[in-house]
Amino acid sequence: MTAVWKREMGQYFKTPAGYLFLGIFTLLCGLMFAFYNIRGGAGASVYVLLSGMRLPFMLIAPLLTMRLLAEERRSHTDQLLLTSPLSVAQIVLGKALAAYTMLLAALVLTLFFPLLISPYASVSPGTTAAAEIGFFLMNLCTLSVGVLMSALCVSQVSAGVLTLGVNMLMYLLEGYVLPQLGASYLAGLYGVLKRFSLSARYATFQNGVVGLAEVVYFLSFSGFLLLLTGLCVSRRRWAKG
Amino acid sequence: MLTATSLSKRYGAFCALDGVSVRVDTGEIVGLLGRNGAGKSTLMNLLTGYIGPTEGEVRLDGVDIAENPAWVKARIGYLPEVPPLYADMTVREALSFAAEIKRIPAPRRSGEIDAALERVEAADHRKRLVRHLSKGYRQRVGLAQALLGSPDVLILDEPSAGLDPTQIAQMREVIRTYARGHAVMVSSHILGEVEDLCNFLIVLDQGRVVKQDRLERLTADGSGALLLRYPESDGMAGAVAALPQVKAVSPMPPKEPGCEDLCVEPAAGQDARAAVFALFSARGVPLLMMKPVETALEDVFRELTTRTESGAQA
Repeated sequence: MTAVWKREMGQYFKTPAGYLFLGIFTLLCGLMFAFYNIRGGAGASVYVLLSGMRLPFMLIAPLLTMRLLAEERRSHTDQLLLTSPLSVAQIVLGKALAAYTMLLAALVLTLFFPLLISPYASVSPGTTAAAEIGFFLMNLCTLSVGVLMSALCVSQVSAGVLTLGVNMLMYLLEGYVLPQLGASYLAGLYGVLKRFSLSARYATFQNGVVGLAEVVYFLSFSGFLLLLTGLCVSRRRWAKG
Repeated sequence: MLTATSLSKRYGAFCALDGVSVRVDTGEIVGLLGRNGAGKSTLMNLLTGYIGPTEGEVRLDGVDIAENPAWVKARIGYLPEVPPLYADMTVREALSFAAEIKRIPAPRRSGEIDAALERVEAADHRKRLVRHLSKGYRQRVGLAQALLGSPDVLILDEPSAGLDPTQIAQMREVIRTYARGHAVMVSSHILGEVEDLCNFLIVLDQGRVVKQDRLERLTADGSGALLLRYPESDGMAGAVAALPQVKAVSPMPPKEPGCEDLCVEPAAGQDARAAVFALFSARGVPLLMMKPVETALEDVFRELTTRTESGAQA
């Protein structure tokens, strides 16, 4: 698994993908910081900054995931991986962990913003850490969707488009469709579905609290998607047509 | 020893492989022959665990690949038709990655990579990017990758496809040398290559094994007929025909100037070799050649694959 992780990490920095992802993410964070924190008066709140990054992150997440498994199939290098002693779980985990590591690296860069504003506003380390942890956990799900889509496609482009589509669909459902339900006679259903909303779960991190239920939910969601990825790869090997 | 028992692979209604049983022993080079779509690559993919069978099992030294895949896969080296190499890595990086996932201990990795590259004569290319390698060198690096860790079984799918004659000869030499202490399976379209390299042949057609036997038995015509060559000599053909162990003789077109070739058909259940030799010795005529009449592998292959085709049509 470590070998796969190392290869993928190396791959991010041998191609423009890793630099593009980190560059665009940091640039967009800078813009959000200027609009929300400096002009908008949110001060040193990393939660506000990162809340604004949910949608932009969805747009650039495919840069990290679209190649992972699709390219292996296209270039036949999956034959090397799948005939090696590595299990499918190790292959999928190694690749997913590389994408997660890039997200972590991007989040480390965002710590620069509260430091920048610290002489002018009070920075709460606890709230900052909670916002960072929450954003990281929430976007493990975004990236895991990408890993699954990459396993379903042979073309990187298709994997990227599908990733964007599925993540956007989830975002629109929880951001626009669910609130409509809440205002209708289906308010009961809204109450149930809201529990599955990633944004709603992330909102609980704004007060500096890292809730166990949220952590378990995000990890389970990502784990489930990775499990589906593993099943998808295995199923193809045992395919009966 | 690698064994496959009753292996089948179906994709919906299409049967890619149907009840195939094969065995590859140490010291043997098993050739896999078949037309396009006969199931050669499917069989190799099943033997290496790249895909799973619909039915049947693959065992290495008695260990089922389905029960202990990591153990079995660590002992099989595989070079598919398209060498699975990462184009963006250098040769050394690609082999280093392959060595790591093959679980070769870190202290041994460097030595293994160097040895494999030396073996395939690609050591000078270790720093080149795979994408810049010619087809021939990609094939060599693919073979080096398969050889990493000295696997007990080496499975090669069309290893000489796209190579020039010199590279083919080098590739064959590497395979031949490796087979001295290991089991090797090679698939090829080139009958000459199989004939030159392999000592056991498996002929596949339409997903089934139509014949598997040692090369010499496969090409022997089964009648026990002998082909003799001797310097032109009056009356030798008649004298051979008069032997009680001989049923009939027929002169063959001479292949050597000043010599006669004679095909000898022995009487039923008789071995005419000793009598023929004694006759030539008694008459003082040097016997330049005496060998069983063989059928060309190409004819055997064509007959086997045509037979199943006509059977299927019937």
